[in-house]
Amino acid sequence: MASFSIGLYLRCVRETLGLTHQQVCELTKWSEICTIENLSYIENGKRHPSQHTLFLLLERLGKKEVFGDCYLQTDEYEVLVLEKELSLALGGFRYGEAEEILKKIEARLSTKYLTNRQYLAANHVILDLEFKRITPEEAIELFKKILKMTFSAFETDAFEKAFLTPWEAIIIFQIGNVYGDMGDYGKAVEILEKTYRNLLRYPDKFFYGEKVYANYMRAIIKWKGEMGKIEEAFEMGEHEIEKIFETGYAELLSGLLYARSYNTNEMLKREGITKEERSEINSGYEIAALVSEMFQEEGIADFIRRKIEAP
Amino acid sequence: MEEQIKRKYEILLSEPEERTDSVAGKQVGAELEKNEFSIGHSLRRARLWKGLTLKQVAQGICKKSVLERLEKGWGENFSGFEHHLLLRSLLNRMGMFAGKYDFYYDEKERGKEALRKWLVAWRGSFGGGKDRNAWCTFPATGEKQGAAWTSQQKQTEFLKELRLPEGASYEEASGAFEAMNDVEWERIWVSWQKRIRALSQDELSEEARRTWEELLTQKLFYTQEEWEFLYALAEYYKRKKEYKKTEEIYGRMYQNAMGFGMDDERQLELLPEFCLIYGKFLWEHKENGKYGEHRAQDILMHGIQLNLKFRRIYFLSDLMETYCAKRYDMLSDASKEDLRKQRKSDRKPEDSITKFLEEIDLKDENEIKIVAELLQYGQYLAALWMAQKKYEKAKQQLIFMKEELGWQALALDYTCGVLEKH
Repeated sequence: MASFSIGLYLRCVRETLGLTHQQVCELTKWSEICTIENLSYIENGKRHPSQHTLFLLLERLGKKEVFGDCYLQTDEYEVLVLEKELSLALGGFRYGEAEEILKKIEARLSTKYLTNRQYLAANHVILDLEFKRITPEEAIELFKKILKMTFSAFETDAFEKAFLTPWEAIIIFQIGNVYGDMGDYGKAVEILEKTYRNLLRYPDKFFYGEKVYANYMRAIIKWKGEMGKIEEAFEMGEHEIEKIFETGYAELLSGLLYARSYNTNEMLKREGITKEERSEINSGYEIAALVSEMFQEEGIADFIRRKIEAP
Repeated sequence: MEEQIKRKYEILLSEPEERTDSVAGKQVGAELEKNEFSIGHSLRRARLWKGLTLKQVAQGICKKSVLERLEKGWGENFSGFEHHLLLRSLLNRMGMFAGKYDFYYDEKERGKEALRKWLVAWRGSFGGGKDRNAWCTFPATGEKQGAAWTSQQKQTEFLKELRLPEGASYEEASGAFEAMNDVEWERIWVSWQKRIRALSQDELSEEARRTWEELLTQKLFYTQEEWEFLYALAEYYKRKKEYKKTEEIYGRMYQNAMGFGMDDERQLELLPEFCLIYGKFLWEHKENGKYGEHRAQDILMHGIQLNLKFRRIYFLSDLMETYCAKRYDMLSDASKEDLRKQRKSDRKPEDSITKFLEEIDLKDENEIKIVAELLQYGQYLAALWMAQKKYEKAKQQLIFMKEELGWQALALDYTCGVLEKH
């Protein structure tokens, strides 16, 4: 399996755009960014580009802004601190708090930059949808437009070979989940699985971060369960829970534990649930609720506990 | 959609020119100057935000002029493994997590980085956290983290890479690695490994002593190598039973990590394991009486809160278990006896901790607070163990809460049923 590298990224983008080495290297009639041979070495990981060359290559491929070392273009370090706070608030389902943080970020972030606008727009859609200021259908349309600001291969044949940046992966994740929330579970699973396979092409996850992989897998489990593929969802869920205790990354652990009990309930109820089995399922819900409380996920523990049935 | 919301998105989604992917050379969106796109720019931005001078950041790592060149992007292309080591040290010095820059490696650098990680794991690594090994996990094979680096398979693989036979020693391997990669930052990295290795073999050289003295004067955050050196030094003094010296070193490490502005990811990389080790040490050697006890608890709780805030479970069960054990120890014997009596009464299982606390007969407010914590974290601990299917541990925890604290919530009745089965 290939390792991720800048060279591989450049090659993927070039091939997605259908460009030759010559077309990418050529700067003017009399000068070039680098030789074709050099570009080939870079793409194959045999040579590392200088920053100057890398900059020009990315500019040529239209990826200059999306591939900076930091997604948000700002001179204010504090904005990056607020970005993390926003991510935590959204992860903890604290949407009111998230909205306040987003306002602070918006006040300080320049909309001169494409990726800044993409970031703000995507977070606005998440919150507008949560507070029912837009419909799910409108949210999907908006997410697709937001994605297209930097990535145009979504829902095309080129998607399989295309290379997603982390934020593009997050936007597609949102699209998949909105389909799921609308009841189109098949579409949700199709989008999420296809994208997850795309992300899995590179074993080293630092570029994407554990969070993106984890969120994708957990969403796939959820929607497969809703589709009625209970056994499959259960098996995948068990594998994910095991991974959490190996990696230490516990995002959505409460959701997985809830799904464990929910799927167990669905599998057993076909034949009738014994008192002992009911006790085991209830125990699972209580454990999920406690984990949710532990991580201060607003409202989730109550929701889970409502599933507990008397034996 | 309301007009106002519609307008908001029209503005955010507008572009100065139409984007057409099929035409090479078209810029997307607004201008970004070359010097805004560079790791140097990120270094400079972080440095200025933290109010640091070039000299402060470069101290103990490189010359001030090298950092200055890096920030300006002059002549530095981050090709070559040595620059990644430099970048990592500079980022750590400012309290930043360096992991996200790993993708800049090419295949050759990736190979060297793998060798480096293996040597660290073989030597014995502290304070690595989970993420340091994260990228060695391959989803396809499901290879487990942590164990991967020192497995027999990896040992054979890496020794072969260094052209050494099976059974070669650590010293031979690190010597071969050094000989293969003779560049400045590589040499610096290898010399740190030698210092740390010497300490683990109970050799406190003059060089190690000098290194410690230099680290005492460091005002900014420690780099990863400095941090690991300090762990090894603390362990050395612990083995020599020089506990005051051990405490001095741990104290210095904690003070350093708590300095203003360390990134969350860097804190998560270092602190959960460290808080467990330091907290346990303080408790076991509480020469400072109550002060030492409270400090131990504060440090353990710091590790717990860090995990909970960022939804991680790095040593979380161990931290909670240790914390609860120490808190229970702080209850008076009389209070412990009172609590045990609760379970003998006709009290029905309670749903709510608050209700239970209102009804127990403890006089001391501090002790009521301790009991509240024991119940809260005790439940979380039981839940974590149940989630991992560590039924024996969960059972012990619930028995403890029932027998020693006199409390059993209705909800946990379900759990007890499951535990009986296992």
